[in-house]
Amino acid sequence: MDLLSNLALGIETAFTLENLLYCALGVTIGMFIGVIPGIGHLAAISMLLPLTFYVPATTAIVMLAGIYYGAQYGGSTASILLNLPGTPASAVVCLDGYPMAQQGRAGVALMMTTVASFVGSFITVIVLAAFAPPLASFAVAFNSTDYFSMMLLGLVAAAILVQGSPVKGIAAVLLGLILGLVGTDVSTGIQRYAFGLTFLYDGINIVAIAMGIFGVAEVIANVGKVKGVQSAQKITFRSLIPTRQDVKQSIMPMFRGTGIGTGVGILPGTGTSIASFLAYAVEKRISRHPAKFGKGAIEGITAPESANNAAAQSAFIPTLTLGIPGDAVMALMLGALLIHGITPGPNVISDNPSLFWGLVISFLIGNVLLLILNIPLVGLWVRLLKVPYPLLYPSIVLFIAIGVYSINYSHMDIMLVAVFGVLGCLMLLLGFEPAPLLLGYILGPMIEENFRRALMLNQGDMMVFVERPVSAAFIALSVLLLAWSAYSMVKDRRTARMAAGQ
Amino acid sequence: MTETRSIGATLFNAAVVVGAAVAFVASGNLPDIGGQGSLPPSFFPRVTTAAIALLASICLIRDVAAMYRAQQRPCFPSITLVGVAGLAIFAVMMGYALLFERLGYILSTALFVVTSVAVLSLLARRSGQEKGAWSLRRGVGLVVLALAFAITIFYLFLVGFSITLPGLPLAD
Repeated sequence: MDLLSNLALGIETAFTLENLLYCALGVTIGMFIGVIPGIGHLAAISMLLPLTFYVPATTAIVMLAGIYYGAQYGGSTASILLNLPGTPASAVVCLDGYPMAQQGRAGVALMMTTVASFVGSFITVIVLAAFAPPLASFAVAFNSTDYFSMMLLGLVAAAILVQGSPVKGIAAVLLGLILGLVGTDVSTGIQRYAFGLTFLYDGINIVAIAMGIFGVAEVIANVGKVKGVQSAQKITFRSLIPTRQDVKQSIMPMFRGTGIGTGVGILPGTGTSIASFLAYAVEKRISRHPAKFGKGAIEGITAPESANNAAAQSAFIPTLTLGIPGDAVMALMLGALLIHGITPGPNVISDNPSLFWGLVISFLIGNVLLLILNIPLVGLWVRLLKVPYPLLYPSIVLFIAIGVYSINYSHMDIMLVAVFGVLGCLMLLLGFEPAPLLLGYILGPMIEENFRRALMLNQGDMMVFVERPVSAAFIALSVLLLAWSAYSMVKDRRTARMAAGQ
Repeated sequence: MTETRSIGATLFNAAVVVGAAVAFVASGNLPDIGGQGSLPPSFFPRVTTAAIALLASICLIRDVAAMYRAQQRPCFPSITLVGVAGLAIFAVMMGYALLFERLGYILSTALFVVTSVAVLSLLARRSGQEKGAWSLRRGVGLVVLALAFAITIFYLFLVGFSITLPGLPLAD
């Protein structure tokens, strides 16, 4: 009964004209962003974040979330038609999607990836509605000690599970922590690292950091990389219809992909790319015909597609129930909540039921919209891919500049974006993942606040972090992750040395 | 012939070590406020900067040791297209930020669009990403497009989002 009344509240919230419009706008922008290689959903979300300051919190999150999961749908289109992954998570779809297109089955591939995306998202939204409220109720009993340890685990996971060197992941998190410390210390009112600059007294704007390291850095990094598209296969309605064999071969991979994606999305620091690659690897391993993979196996596109869409939805579970963002996109969502005066944590669902349930229903609406819109708009997306880089990217930089200016009406924010753009570009060139930096920036002040509060309540006794069972479990998991990472590094180095010696 | 090795990463690590050391010292100037069991505001900055300095030092030592072991000759990193693009976009954005309130939104934005399209076109041509020659007609077209774009965005923000941008040069 309670669930029914909550769903009714969600329907009432999501079906307002404003929320429906922003949901449709979000998923359409997301699809567009997903199709265009070189513009990530992070850049798009950070670019549009300032525009959501002028609408209610629920509407803002509905639109930003729409961009995120809409991009997962669109990402596979360019992978299949052009062998260009629109998003990192859809890179794996190139492996079998492009061969399918070369065999004249691009329509079937597009249809099946759309259906797989819908299945993955839809099932995970139901999981979110079923499990998020009980998890939040459980987490209400957490105190500052548990929160500190949980956030520590989130940061360790974000640093360790990144692609590339874990040392660089840790360095990026620490850099984020330092950036989060800039401004007024909430406990004492003292200025830290503001160097007398008044625009830094309230801290560095999250939008400036996100737009710089994701938006501007991507524009810079794509110079000379993204080539204009000249042609792509034409898609007719008839070519979209899959055979009975295609459907039969796709059903179980879709469900397995959904399971993998849901599990991976909940874990901090993982994200949609790991989910799709893992689903692909599992399908290949359990397949009776692994040799088919890479040559146009339909399981090779449906499993990763359902996995990355499921992960995009399940990432909201820790974000909305615990206030712990699993990846950089979720960190931006938390940033948006904070801007709207909503403190992330287990009380979000009980204090703002219309936000949570409205979001759940809007996910369902958004996914239905994507299912309907994805295929008819393919032709339009392919035409958009022909827009030359020197015209498309200055527009992005311009929107970034105006967007960040509109927050505080300060030209200093545009300068900050430029500085973070260069920093983001340097990080990309040197093999640092920028996402952990944003997580460090968001979680840093929260970690510090909870650490100091826990110590103050326990007269400075550090043992409190290992005496409380929940906190001890999180600390133990963090230590295990670090140990596993160190072991993997040593093992990899030994293997490389042995290979070099041969 | 001795092999060469770019010191780009080494320089970056060295800069991080220096930056972290400066931030560590700066945190020492923070007042030592803190009562029974509570931590002073300098605690987290010190721990974080020390950890950054330590990690960057390890990376720096490993870099230098690898170069020494392999008997490679250090060399400055070559100037890449991305590097040039980074500097160009940085300069254009900084210029835009400085001119934004002086020239007003419409003129500074049109200037920004013309400059950035020209810079990115030039870089894209150098990489073979774009083809086609520049002409006076295309240049004039770009200026007209930039002005139209700036005015459209100005009214979009004004009407659509109720955000007033400084339209024309601000009077002193």
